[in-house]
Amino acid sequence: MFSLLSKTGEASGIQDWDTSCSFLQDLNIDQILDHITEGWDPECRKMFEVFPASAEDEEYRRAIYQDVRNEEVYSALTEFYYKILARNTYSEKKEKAYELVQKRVWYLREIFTYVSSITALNDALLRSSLGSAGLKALSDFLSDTISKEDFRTLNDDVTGLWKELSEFRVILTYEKDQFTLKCGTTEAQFENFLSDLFPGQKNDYGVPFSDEEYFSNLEDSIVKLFMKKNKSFFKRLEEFCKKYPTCFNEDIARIEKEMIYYLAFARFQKMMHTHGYDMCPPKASSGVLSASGLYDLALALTNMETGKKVVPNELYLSDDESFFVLTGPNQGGKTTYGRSLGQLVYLAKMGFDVPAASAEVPYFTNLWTHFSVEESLESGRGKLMDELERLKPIMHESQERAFVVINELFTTAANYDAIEMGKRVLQYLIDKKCKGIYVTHLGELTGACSGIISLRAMVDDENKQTFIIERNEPAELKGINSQVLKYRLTYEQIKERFS
Amino acid sequence: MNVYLLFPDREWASTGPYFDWNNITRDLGLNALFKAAGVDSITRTGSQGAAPGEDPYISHSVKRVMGVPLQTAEEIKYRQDIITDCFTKQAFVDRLYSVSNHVLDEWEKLGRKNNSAGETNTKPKLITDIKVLKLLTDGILEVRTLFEKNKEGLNSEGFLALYDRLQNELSDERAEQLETLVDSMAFFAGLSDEKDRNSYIVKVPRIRLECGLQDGLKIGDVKVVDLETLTVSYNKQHGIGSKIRGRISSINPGVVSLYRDQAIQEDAEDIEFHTVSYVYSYCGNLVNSIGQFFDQLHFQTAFYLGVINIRSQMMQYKIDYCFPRVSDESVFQFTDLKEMILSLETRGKTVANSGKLDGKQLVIITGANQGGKSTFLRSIGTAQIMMQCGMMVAAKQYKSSIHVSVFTHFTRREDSAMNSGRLDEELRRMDRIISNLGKDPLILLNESFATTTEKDGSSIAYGIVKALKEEGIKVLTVTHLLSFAQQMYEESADDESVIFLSAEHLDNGRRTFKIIPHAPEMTSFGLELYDEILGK
Repeated sequence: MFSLLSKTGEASGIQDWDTSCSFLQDLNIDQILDHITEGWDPECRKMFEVFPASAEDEEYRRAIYQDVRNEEVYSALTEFYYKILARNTYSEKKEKAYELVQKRVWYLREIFTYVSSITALNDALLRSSLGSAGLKALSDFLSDTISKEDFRTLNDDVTGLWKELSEFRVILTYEKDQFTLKCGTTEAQFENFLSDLFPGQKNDYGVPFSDEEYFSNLEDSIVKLFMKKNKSFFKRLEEFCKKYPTCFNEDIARIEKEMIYYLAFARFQKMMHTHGYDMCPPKASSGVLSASGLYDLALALTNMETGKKVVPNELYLSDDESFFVLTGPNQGGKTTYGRSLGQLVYLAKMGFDVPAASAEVPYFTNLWTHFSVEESLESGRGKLMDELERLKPIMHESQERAFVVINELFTTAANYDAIEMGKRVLQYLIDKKCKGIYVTHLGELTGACSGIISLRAMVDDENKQTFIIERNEPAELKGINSQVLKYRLTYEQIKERFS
Repeated sequence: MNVYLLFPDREWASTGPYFDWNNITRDLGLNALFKAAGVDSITRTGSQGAAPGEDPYISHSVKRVMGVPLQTAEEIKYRQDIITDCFTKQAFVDRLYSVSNHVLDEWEKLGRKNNSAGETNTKPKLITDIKVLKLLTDGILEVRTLFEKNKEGLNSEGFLALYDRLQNELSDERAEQLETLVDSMAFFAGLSDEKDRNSYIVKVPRIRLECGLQDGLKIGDVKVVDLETLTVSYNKQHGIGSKIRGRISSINPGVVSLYRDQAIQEDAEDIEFHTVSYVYSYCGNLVNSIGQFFDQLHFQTAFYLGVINIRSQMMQYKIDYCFPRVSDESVFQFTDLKEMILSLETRGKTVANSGKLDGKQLVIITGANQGGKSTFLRSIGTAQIMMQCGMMVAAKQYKSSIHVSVFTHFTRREDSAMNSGRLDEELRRMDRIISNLGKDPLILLNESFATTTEKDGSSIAYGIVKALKEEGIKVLTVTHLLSFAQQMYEESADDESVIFLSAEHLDNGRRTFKIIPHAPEMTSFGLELYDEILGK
């Protein structure tokens, strides 16, 4: 079975993401998905909530996505998608129509759109240079379908009838309380007046009557006129419908659904680009995890509304380094940094581009997160128990080589206990060859075991948060200088400011 | 359609306002000037809701325009020329303003603000839209006529270019087309239904469409062939009994003909609505563009009307004015310069100062309390800001270079208490200024750092002013910090680019409020003032 999501065509997804591991919420990926899936079939969201089954499938999707990023391929697929939407509308209208003859006309249109959309997509894919195995297979599949005898006959039949119907025109005059009907065409003088007055503008008249399927009195008269004048057309239409009671292909139906996965993300990426946020394809890596200009995609989406900028950061974790422990002032960008790492791993696993200027991501078997719930009604012992409960699946079930994001564990426990428990968690995960980041206010954790890299959210000379994360030991706040020095207003400081 | 009366090639500045326009406004007391600009000197009628004879919108416009400095001598000349035209054609400018005022008012009444929200695609909305379209097209044709009638006597590039644009973009042919367009939809909005004693004049449509049937045999792919408003008159005795649309019918040749009856009434209304709504859909940009034209015309003529109003008051109080000359960096001269706002407040009874500060980069003003130092500093700041928005200034002559970045750092009376919070605030403001200096800045310091001890303040001021001086930045400072002034005086004995001024102080102890070149003294005559006020 041919699939755009999996190389082997087997059902994708290694497991159901269980509710205790809520990284979609923790990493704000659910917010990102809201934007990605907005306007698409709501069903498509499920595809974003399951990881590919293997490293091979991740690679398969990544290659397809890079093809879809190609403008030519993107617009061909988008156009195909819009035709599917149109087709669905025609099909609904067919179902709703009262008159048999009306049903037949809608069906004619549905089939015509189906046939021409497949032909157009096939032509476009043949014109494009494809790099991915997935889209090459799609192109072959379409070419094969089209070359078959039955498809070609269908194409000829439907195109002929459709042409005939679209050429029929009626002239309708409304004046002094009466309508007059006539077959034929005109110069459409008023349209010319409009295009003269508003050059370059072309609007759509729409439909004058209710788009319900029943005819208005006026339409009824028009149809009668038409049927009287075109008896042979209706005869042939009836024969056509008998000859082709159905003609849709199952494989194409599945491909239609799967391509939304790529189109939705590509459209989202374009939207981000117009707001000044770029993404890049992650390079495969055997062990190094690195990125430059990495940012939190969900924060970027929020800030887009307020016009605030997101501070990008650097990331480097070598093959033999295991875990970041990130400390620094409150509101200094620690959680944001942790989230951006998690999003990086998620998007790379899904085969998409990542929010960074450049990135290198190795294969991780899975992604786990644990965020403390600040607003939890529970407190004291209750909250600690709740945290430990939620930690259980990570400690018991996590496979080797997963990526883990932990944010402020054990905030309600006594300091000594919290440090001890934190150390154990880190030791356990590092033993499991997991990588990840542990965001905390406990500087002591940086020395928990080997393989830990200490990061710090930096402040500037005035002790203001810079939201920049650097490799650095946990630090105490610096003392504040006298007022003039603070504002850099001594003679020497001003001279320095000008140089 | 562009107005372009503020800039030769755009409606509004591509550069931002003065970095700290609010502080400048406050320090120079410019709000009084904005208020004066809003006092109507032509028709002496006020706009709605304001005191008689006052128009807050004019004040607002003058404030906004003044807040953004012009960048070149050409831009300043462009506005000075327009202002010169305004002075000779005051009634014309006033008409332009009131036409745009009227159009925008009426539009407001038709619900301009609510238009974008809520109901779309309804019959009442469409009727309103057509009324707005008519209001705007009538309005712009009136502006065109006004320009035609007033072309004699307009000499400025700005007005003449706008005249040409109106002629070109609104040619007779185009004007006629617009009228045809509005008229074609007139029946729908019931525009100008006429009634007389004997008959009803009713607007009825004539619509011709060409359409296809491929959308499930329903009417689709529609093209409009004809759309007209016909005027039909009914005799009263017949008209009243029958429906307003009447029952006049004629048998047209055709394949199928349907006489109007109850059942088909709805179809007819649908066709009317859809056709008009389709034609109107083309007018969105037109409405926006004419709407923006009027927004701009309203705003820009408000500024010029404000200038006319200020000048009228200056003439009334016999305050001399001139159009300043933009010079290069080395020239800075003025003759009989008055502090604009104080002049208006005292009805012209203020001291005028003359100065030739060519090549002076640092001006330090010291001397008697209440001696006119701050007024002098403000007179220069205000004149500079007025020059840089194209206005006249209150002087017989004023020559200066352009300083796109003007900063004021005034210690305000309520700040004077010694208080580390105040000093902190002063330092923060200074830090902001230095971080945002921009090109060719002009900094006006008025008693800065008086919020700390004389010793501390002097040392802070000395460090800052010396550094700024060395960086070639133009600084005018009024100061009480005598150690600072003394130290600067000693260090710059041979420096031609530094000048020390002082409030004139006659031997008999009388103050003249004139500012003259003078070395700083160790006393600011506070004791004398003390004596004067409290007695010996």
